Amino acid sequence: MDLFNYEFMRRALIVGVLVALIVPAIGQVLVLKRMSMVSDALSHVSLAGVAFGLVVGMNPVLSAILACILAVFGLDELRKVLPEYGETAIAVVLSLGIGLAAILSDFTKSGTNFNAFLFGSIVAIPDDEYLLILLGSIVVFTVFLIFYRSLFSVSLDETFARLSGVNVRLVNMVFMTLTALSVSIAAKTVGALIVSSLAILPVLSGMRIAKSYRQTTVYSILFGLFFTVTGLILSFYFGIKPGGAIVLLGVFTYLGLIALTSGKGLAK
Amino acid sequence: MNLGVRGEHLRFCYQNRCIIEETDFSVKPGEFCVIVGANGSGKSTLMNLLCGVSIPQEGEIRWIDEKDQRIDPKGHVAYVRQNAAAQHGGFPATAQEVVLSALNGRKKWLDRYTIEDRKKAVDALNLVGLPESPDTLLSDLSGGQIQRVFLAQALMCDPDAILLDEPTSSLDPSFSHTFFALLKKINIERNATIIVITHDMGLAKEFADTVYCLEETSIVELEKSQIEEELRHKHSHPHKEESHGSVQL
Repeated sequence: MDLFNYEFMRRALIVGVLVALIVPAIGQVLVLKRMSMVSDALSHVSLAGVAFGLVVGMNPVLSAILACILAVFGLDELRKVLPEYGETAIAVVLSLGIGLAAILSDFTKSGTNFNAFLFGSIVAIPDDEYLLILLGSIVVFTVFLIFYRSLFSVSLDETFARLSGVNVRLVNMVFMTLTALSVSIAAKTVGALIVSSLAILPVLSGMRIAKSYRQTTVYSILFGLFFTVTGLILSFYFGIKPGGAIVLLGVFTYLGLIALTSGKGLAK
Repeated sequence: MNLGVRGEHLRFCYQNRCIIEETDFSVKPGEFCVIVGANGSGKSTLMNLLCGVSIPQEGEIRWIDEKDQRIDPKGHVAYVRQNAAAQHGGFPATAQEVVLSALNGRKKWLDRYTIEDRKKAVDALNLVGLPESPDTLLSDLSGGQIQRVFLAQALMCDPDAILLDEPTSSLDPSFSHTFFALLKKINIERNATIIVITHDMGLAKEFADTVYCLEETSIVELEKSQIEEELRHKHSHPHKEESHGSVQL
């Protein structure tokens, strides 16, 4: 396949595979904790981080990571202030992110570079961003595996988990940091506006056919890999935005699975 | 170890309403205690206080052993939440995965479940009377079966006390009786303290050693005669949801 002859495409595929490993893995916990919209809010904040990085000449992936980590803990604090309307905190953070991104994007030197973060791009990923994404992905996936069982407990029932000795506060803090890292890392290849879809659609697809929690994790990652790699290849051959191709593949696969397994009920 | 709990001078208020004010109560180690009360009387708030999810604004809740020594409830107390079937029916896990997860707080980060752990999980599922395979997904089980899975999860911790928040509220009455009989068996055979919230005064009368009623910001212990009076009132007014004692039957 001649797409492997291009260095930028090889890099895009490596990054795509890493993103497809970490985003659905984190997405499974987000879906089960009923926090799917958090990834959406963070993706908007990551855009603000990217714009800030481009304005001040900082590595945009690094600035996106820092912005998302700040946002994720701000979100936690805001939820404590609004305990009865916790989900509105997500809307506030999302609004802050998109508002800052819109204003800061006017000051970026290169509009094209900023746009690459909106819907993803397979154009050359600079060395520093590439290394940061590689390192970040390995850290996220390793920590996810270490906390795998604790994340199961906290997703199922925080009260039971706390009483049975799980350090719920630590697990939640680690998880929110992993979410922030994953969203920021995925923004470049998949596109910030599409990260939340990659966090949710593979998980929903995996849940349609899995027979256990472990299988759900494995299938979610496999679906994520299928959507991302196929989306990147389609992007290369047809000149379309990778984010769009990845998300549409995800949506149609999920709808197809619903049709095939409709006897099992929509929410399963 | 036998575990009891004592609440002293408790006060817990939300922004506009006090649920509990200047209230004491205690459950002795090994007791089967039932808490009743009308909708909105604060039963679940009391459960949150017992679990440590909420902290009383005044007073304190102390878990104690037989020698009246203070005990950290973590690792000693298990909890079965309200409406487990509705809350977790779609959770993509098998019965065995849910039961095994009770050990997650004790396992080191990369420890695997041992063969003994898996055998213990299957034994816990057998004890609660789940005939299905341990590898059955929660979504393939009925509401009553899911409730049994979560009781098996609680038993997996070898708890000294089990807290249950309306465990049979959405299930049929015959299952409620079976479930309470199972709790009584656990209470006697394992010497585990049971604290359970229910609306069913009949079950409270049949199984409980102590019945507390939440009414007007107080926790009042009901005498046997009061329980019988409540039951008589229910039978003479079967369609009335609340009796004069504000206890919903």
